[in-house]
Amino acid sequence: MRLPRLLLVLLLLPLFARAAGTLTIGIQLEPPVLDPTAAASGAIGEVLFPSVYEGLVHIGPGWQLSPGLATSWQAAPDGHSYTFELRPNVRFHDGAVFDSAAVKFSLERAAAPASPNPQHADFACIAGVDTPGPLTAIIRLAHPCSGLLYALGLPGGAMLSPHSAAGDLVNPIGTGPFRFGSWARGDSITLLRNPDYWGVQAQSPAIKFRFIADPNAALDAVLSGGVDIYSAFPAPEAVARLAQNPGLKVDTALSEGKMILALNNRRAPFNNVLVRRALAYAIDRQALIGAAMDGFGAPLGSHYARQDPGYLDLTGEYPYDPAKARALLAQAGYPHGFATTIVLPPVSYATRAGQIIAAQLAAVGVQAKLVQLDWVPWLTQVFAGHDFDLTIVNHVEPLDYGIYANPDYYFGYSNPHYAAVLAQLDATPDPAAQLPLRQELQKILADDEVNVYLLQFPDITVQSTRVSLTWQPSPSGDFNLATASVTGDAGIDQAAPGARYVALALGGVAIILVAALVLRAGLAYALRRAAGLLVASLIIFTTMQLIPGDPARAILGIQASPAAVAALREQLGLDAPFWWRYGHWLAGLGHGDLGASFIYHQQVGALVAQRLALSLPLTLYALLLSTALALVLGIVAAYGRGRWSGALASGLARLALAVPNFWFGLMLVIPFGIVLHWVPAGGFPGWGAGLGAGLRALTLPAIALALPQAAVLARVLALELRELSGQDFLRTAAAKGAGPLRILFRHALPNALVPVLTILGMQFSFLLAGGVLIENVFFLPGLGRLIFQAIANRDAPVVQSVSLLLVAQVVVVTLLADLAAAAADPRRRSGASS
Amino acid sequence: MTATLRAGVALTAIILALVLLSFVWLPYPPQAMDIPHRLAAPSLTHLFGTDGFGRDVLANVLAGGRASLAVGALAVLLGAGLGVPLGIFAAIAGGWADELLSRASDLVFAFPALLIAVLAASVAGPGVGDAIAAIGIFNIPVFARVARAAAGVQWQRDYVLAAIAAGKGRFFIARAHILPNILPGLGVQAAIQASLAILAESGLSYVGLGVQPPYPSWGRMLDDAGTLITTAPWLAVFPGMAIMLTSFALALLGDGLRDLADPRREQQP
Repeated sequence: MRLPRLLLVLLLLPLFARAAGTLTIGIQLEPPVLDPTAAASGAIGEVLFPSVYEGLVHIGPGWQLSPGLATSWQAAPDGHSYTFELRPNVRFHDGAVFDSAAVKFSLERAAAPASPNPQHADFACIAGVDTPGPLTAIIRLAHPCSGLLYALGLPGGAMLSPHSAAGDLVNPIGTGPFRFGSWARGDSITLLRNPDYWGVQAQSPAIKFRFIADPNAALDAVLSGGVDIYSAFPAPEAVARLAQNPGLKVDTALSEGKMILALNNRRAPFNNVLVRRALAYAIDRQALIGAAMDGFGAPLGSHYARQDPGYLDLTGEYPYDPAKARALLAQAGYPHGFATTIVLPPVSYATRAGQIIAAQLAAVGVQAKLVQLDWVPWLTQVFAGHDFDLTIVNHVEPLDYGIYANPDYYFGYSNPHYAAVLAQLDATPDPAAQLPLRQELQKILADDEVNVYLLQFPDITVQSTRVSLTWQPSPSGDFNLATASVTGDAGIDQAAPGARYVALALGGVAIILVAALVLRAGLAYALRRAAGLLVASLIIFTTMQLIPGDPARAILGIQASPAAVAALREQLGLDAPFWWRYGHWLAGLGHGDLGASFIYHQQVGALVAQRLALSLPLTLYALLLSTALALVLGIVAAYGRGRWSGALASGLARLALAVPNFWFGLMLVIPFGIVLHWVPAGGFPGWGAGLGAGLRALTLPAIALALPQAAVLARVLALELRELSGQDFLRTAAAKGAGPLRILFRHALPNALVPVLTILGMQFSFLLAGGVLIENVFFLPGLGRLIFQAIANRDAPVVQSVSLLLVAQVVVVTLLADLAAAAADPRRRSGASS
Repeated sequence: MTATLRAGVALTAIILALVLLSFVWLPYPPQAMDIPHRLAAPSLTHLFGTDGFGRDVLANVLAGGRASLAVGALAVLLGAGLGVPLGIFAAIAGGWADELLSRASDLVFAFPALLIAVLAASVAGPGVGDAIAAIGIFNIPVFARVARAAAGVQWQRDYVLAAIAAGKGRFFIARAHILPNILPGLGVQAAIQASLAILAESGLSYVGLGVQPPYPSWGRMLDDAGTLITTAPWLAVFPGMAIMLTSFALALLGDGLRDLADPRREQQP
């Protein structure tokens, strides 16, 4: 009959529905919070400025300032105040009016001493803001500062509404062409077009930012259409391949990033200008760009980017000359060179550049050892502690030459002449008159070679040809997304993964399981388990305290003032005594409060529920596939023993065991995800996109996870079946006339299943949090990555509570496996075994 | 000697020989950069081709084996060295010791080796020590369980009862009688765990834990090769094959040893 089939298609159609017009942008880092004035992560501005938030001025190409939320401005003749006329009829997304009160609130907040605002240094000169009228704001300065006007167009200058500012961390309210839609932590942020915007309407109905840091995953995402645009593409070596793809376009530009080999000017031998210059002569910047950046980027002679006003080309100051380097080192008293250490932050450019630089330094007698650190240890040891010789950093903040006037900055440069020129620049409001002073600053830095200036970091953007090209990142590095749009069948729009339902379901299951545990095994057993969990909680908590590193500093970033760091530590309760914090945590656990994440400003319980909505089905899916494959291989291996079929199955099982699962996943993506497009190359659209879409996204990861597990199971199963084959009860069954299949399924398998069930239980526990590598390869926001990143970020509440949950889960799953084994084998029904 | 054992011994011996050879001879220094010849396909001058920095892939595969085998061996030794005594003790002492062992095992099993490695790296910085520690810690309950089960069986044997009746202490019996008799089973488990340790080490290196640059490592070579898989496939094929072959060889060895020791011995997971 035709009709039922048609109905079936219509019913299934929503499963495969796709939202047209959503522009999907891939970026490397996820913003920790959604208020660009509250933390230093550049990702916040990338996503939310000037899309959701706006500033008083707008920064265009060449750092040209044009009206933003202010229609005009005037500097007072004495340079001690600016008068801004504000744009009328502008409203925030919650309906509040934008007026001078909002300007006063935003700027005084940014200028406050303990403010975590990343542009705090530029706003610190603000003494106060007067509001003679609703559309007029006068900014009074304590002293002139040259960076103020630019700072008003950067993310730190975002205009916030006094009524909603406190909630902006997780629910951003601004004045921009896009409103906040939703945030699936670890995965994506969705923005929706603002129909009431004061300016030109945005062309895209929605924009989704996906966070994909791994270079392999990023490449797969652009090739498979998982993202329409990828900004700051992290795999320059793959550009050649991308450029051949007719559906993709690659734009290479220079970013504001100044990659430097930073020298600790406080320490010998780097306090000697001859040594610093020698190192500059020793580095072949072109070779570095060729090998570390695959030819992208441009050499630098000083701490200044080409697109910034007043750029002076000083790249000829220290051409590549190893002989000259050796001569200078000898002159400085190091004729045989010296030994040193290069500390590398956890980014691929640093690792690559570090290896090349070490080789180039070795050629002039400087033996450099490479030490790799995570961000928090880097911030603690290098940035705050000044305990390093050399390090490699990409300074992305635009116009940050002010750091050289701060003797407490991590490289420790102190030059009164430089500070004097900078003060003069600050006192010069006229941009044309500033130019010679800006050039003077660059010359001083090159002359002293404070750091070895390597290259200006490339900005590689990969975009689909379906994306309309009327958009450009501004010099400040932010996207002006209002003019971007994508045509045709764009990516799947994400709905919230139904985390609340998952949380409720899990809560219910947990209660049932605990009840079953107590009933089945007795109160004493349950109490012993509870005692074990208590001990585990203490061990976990103590371990977290042992890990060095300050999460407050990680959140606030490198521009944070000590006052801001101290204030945040106080707020997070990091300085309270050990037993108080432990007790507080346990008490919270008692009534279901797992704590709040330092980084995400969200309840740990909610975070876990979101991740479990992916990890739990993925684990079950993988176990299902693994069991199916294991049954086939195991049965064939057992019954084919001595024949080629058995040997083949055994051999396959052994081989499957030897395959690294992350590698297998990568291999699978190319044919199935990129060439054939049967499944997405990665990412998870959320269950809101439909059961079919969700399962399709999980299929390759499940297969990659299942393969080695299947191998283990198959071998155990084969062994068990072989051991059983000689047993009496099977021979009796055969004698009674039972066919081989009946013997297999009704008699042999149920007995063989007992150890298999135990192993399945262990595999479940392992897969739940152990799939980190697979989650990386397929950029899935799963439980493994949550813990992984939480440890790196020193997000103690997440690590503690999730770890304890994992331990509890092992106890529960072991019990379930024992119960199942008892059900399968009556001889074991003598009470739960330990 | 079964075919499995012969194959396992032969393959393991070949791989071991090649890795030991790397200490004496390599076609090129593994860290020598030759940037004009970067990303060269396999040829007579570079049998396995060169990587993004112009380094010889064959030399790096041979030298990378040092890290993998060293980490594998040390991690297994750590796991066995601590796990076996714990297991025997739990079997002999029974009661609370047994209970404690089970609870501790649960705690360790809840955390995959990767997470333990990340925690270790957070405290001490990433390095080969973290990899050994993490994989080793994860191996302790495995060996403890195997040793406990095997020791439990031995403990019931007549010769042990006779020794107890003769007044020998439990520690003496454990060392002189139990241990030698459970060694074959432990040896099998060691080979199997070694094969898994090779895979674990490659996974840790893939995410940047474990042996650090400039020392070569198979897992890290795979990470670097990922984005170049279609333009320079040799970068992924050779390290990947090395990992698979080494793990496979050790697994064959373990299976062969098991068949040798007791063809009907129940396999421990």
